[in-house]
Order: sequence, then structure tokens, then C-alpha cells
Amino acid sequence: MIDLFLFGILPYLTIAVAVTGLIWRYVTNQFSYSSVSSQFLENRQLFWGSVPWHYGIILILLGHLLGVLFPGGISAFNGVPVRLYILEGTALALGLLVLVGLVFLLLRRGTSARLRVVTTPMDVVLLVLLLIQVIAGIGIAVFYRWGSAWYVQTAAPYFWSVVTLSPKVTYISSLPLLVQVHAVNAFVLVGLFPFTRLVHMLSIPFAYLWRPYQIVMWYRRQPRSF
Amino acid sequence: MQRKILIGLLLTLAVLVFIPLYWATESGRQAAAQERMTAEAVERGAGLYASNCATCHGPGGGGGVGPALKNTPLDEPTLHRTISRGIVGTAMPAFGDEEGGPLNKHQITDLATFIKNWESARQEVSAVPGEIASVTGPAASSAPHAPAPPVAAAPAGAGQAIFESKCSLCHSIGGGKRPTGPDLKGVTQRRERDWVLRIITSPDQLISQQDAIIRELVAEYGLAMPNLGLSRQEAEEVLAYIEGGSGAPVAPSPAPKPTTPQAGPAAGDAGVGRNIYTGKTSLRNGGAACISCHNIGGIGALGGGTLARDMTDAYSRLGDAGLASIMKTTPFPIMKDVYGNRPLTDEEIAHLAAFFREAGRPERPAAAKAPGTFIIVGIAGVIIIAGVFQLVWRRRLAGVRRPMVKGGSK
Repeated sequence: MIDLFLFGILPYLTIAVAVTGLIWRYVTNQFSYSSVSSQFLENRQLFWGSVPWHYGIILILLGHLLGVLFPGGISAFNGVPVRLYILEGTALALGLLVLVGLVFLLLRRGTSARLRVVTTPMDVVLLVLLLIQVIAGIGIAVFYRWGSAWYVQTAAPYFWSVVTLSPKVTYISSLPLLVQVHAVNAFVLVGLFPFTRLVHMLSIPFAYLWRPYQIVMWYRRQPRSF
Repeated sequence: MQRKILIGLLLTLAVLVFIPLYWATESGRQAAAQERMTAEAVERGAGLYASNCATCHGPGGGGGVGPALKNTPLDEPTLHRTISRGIVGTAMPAFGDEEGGPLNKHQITDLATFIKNWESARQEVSAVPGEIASVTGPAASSAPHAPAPPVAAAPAGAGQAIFESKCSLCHSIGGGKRPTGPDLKGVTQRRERDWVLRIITSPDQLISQQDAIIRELVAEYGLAMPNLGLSRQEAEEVLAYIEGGSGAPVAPSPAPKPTTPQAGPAAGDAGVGRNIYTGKTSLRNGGAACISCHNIGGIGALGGGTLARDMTDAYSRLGDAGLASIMKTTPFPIMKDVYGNRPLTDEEIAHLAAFFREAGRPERPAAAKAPGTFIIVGIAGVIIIAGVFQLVWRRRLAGVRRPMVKGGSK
């Protein structure tokens, strides 16, 4: 029964909340579609937090997406043990990189006095949930290897069963508890998406790539003489 | 004093001479002892062969109901296992006493040695046929699982024939429970008759309905009953036979006709099985490669998955019958989802069983268990990536603002 709720109902519930929430936020507070950057307040620790986190998580999420979209391709790639080991090793390295970044981001929030002023409770909730998610993911990779291989045969069909509105909960409910935590926490993160700074995912400044050049001019008290 | 020294020198010399002499002849002595012991084993094995095997495999090993055993390509450990456990789906019963058969471990070793040394034992074999008639009778009646002489098997009811070809490999009637399944004596008193008919005709359906009794049985025996393709009519006949035959223990007798050599579990190729296991050869119906979740020895530096059980000792735990049954029915929760619509084919099962048999040998490498190497690989990866970040983007966030601040305060 609890399985049916967690894996058969919760996904739809959180997606509904996310969609409604995003529309509501767009209508009422459009300007807040941003990462609410705090780079201006502190940027030395931010480098070791933000850079590993973002490059790691983008590739990890891409991996999860590829597994769902091309399960056959991933299985074929993993057909030779060495290739499987390379994929898993890379994924674990990226997972640990993400963890390092997240720990730096958490420390930064905790230690910098300037940042504490601008930190909302939701920021802390989000960072803690992300920490749980990352630790669960690394735990799965290490203790229930080879995730990339069995993911495409369990999570991928489960994902499509949810998309096609006939969720097959046994795909997830028969997997180890850690995997279930990873899945449920992912749904929770989807549900919280509109109420956190995660919305900056939807405001990637693509236009930046072809914006016109900007000229930076200096005012100095004593212009140099030639 | 002088004399003592002389004696000491002589003794030393004697030892010095004795050791090389001993050392030089020892290996030859060992070889000779080995040969003598093999010859003895072959002799004992020949006697056992005549009384237990010759009926089906021919007195000269040329085959008959069973395949020819002379010059068999199977090696001794394989022979040993096949003899002690039998082959599921064929008339070959389990002879090992652990499986309820008449032979102990040492006798089976003697038999396997005899079969592998057929040439050297030619004289014994040619001397045997006269002996067969006198030995077969009492052996068959005293040992519950020895093949009965063909004469006794000829006129049998339909239920008995089905029981002997399909059921007796895993179940006995009054012979006690086997590692593969419960004793069926009085089964209709323990369970509802209708339920028994259902499990005979469509066990997979009961399994998929999460039947409570089935779950208990699967937990106890570690394997589920495969669908044998029996109709309701045939099931009734088998059940009638089981109910009627509750008297004496039933011995599986050889099939009345020579069975065509079928792709039983023993026919698989370990090399092909290994490729199926690692996923190099995709499964015909698109199921997951075994390596995804199961670890096993000898497949790669970091081993197989650890989501599910280690398969290194699977063959010794379950044997051909158990492995075939599990791979056929995939009764475990995750496997049921993954292989429910993409079942393994009989051919794949045979190859995999052969690979499990290979991998389970004690001389084969153990499975890579601890995740230590894997974690080290991951940490090394992080350090390399962090190094790249440091080299490429040292000034990434500081690049614009800091020089501006610095410049502005000059």
C-alpha cells in the first residue's frame, strides 16, 4: 500500500505540484526565476562548490536521462566488462565530485556571515535534500553495483510506465531500500522545484552566447600621460 | 675422540648419500602409487558401472537409452556432478546418496575415473557382461534410485510414465524430500486436490499470483516449479498415480524408448555462457545481462554486480535442475519484473548453466568482492577532475571583479 503511494501516486502528485507551482511563480513573481546568485558576497569557496557541483550534476543527470531514453544502447555499451567499468568509474568520480561541491556549498552557507543574511530556510532544506540524494546515489553505485546496467532494466521501464500512466510499482518496490530512498527523494525534489532556487534551471541565459560585445571603460583620478 | 669423529663423519656421509637417492626415486614412486590407485579405482568403478550404468549406457559404453560414455568429452568433475545429481528433463536419475541415490561420493569418483580410463580398463569391461545379470536385479531392488531393468518399465500406466519422465527428477513418492522438491506421498491429504492440479498444470500462474504456499516452498527450496506443459487430463493421471503409488518408494526407470539427445543443461557451452553472462552476447528476448546484478569469479577486474546474490557457488548450491528451474521461472521479485516479459531461452539457460559449472570450480578465481578498487578509481577520478578545474579556471570567478577592485583602489 505504501509502495503504491510512494511509486504510483507520489510521482504524479509532485509533478502536478511542480507544474502548478511554476505557473503560479511565473505569474506572481516572474523576476525570481533566478539562481539568486551570491557570487558577489563570496566567491573563493564558491568556485570549489559551484564548479564541481554543476559540471558533475549536469553529466550525472544526463546519464540518468540517457539510460531512460536509450536503454538498449547503454546495455550494448556495457556488454564488455571493461567498458562497463569505465562507465561506472566515471559515474562514481562524477558522483563524488558532486558531493565535494555540495559539501563546499553547505560549508559556505554555514560559515560566511554575509551569506547567512541572504539564506532562506528553503535554501537549507534544498541543500540537505540534495545531500541525501547524492549520498544515496553514491551508496547505490558502491554497494549495489552495477547500477548503470540494472537501471536500464528497472528504473527505465518504471519511468516509461509512469509516463504512460500505468505505473508498475514493483520495479522500484522490489529494489533495495537505498534505491527507494533515492527515488522518493527525487520525487520530493521535483515537487519542491518551483519553491526553491532550482528554478534557475529554466532561466539559462542562452542569449548570452550571442549578446553584443560590451566595452568596459575606466575612470581614473589621474589619467596616464602618454 | 677420534672414533667419535669418524662415526659422525660416516653418518653424515650416509645421510648425504641417502637424501639424493631418496629424492631421485621419490617422484617415480609417487607416480607409481598414483597409477596403482587409479587402476584400483578403475576396477571398482567397472563393477559399479556394470551394476548401475550399463543398462542404459551399454556394457561397452557405446550408448543405448543414454548417450555413449566411452571417449566422452566430459571431464571427471563434470561426470562426477552429472552422476550424483542426474540431468533434469531426461531419464538420468541422481545417483548420489545426498540426492537420495544409492552411491556415495567415493563410489561416484571411482565411476568417473573408470569412465575416463576406459581404454586401460578394457579387460575388466569385457569380463563384466556375465556379471551384469547377477548384479542388476538385487541392486535395483535394494537401491531406491537405481535404474530398474527395462523389463519392469515396459507396461506402465500413463500417470506413471509422466511421473517418471517429468516429476521424478525433483520429487519422490515416499522416498523423503529431495533438495529440489518435497516428497509427494499423500500430497492430496496435505493440500487441496484442486490446488495440486493447478500447480502441476500451471505453476507459473500460481507464482505470479503470489500464492502463499508457493512462496513458502520457494523460500524453503530456493527454486520454483517450472511449467512442464501438462494438460489437466495428464495432471489427473499423474495425481492418480501419486495417490495410488503411496506404497513402496518409486524408482525412476529409464524411458521406454531411447530418448533423442535433447539440449539438456549439460549440453551448454561455458564460453558462450560467459558471453551471455557479461552481456557480450545480448539475450534473445532482451533481458538484462547477468553481470548487471550478479557477481561471479573470473569475469573482470572489478567483478559483477552486487545488487543480487553472488553466483560463484550457485552450481554447487542448486545443481543443473535448480539453476534451470530458477532461470526458467525467475521466481525472485526483481528477476520477475526484469525477465517476466523477456524470458531466457532454453539454449541460453543451458549455456549459462555450463558457465556456472565452470565458474564454481575451486581452482577458478574467486569473485572480486570488496568495492575497494572501485572506490579508489572514483576518488582518483575526482582528484584528476579537480586538478583540471584548478588549471583551467583558477581565475574563473575572480577574473573580472578582483582586478577591477585592485585597479580602482590604486
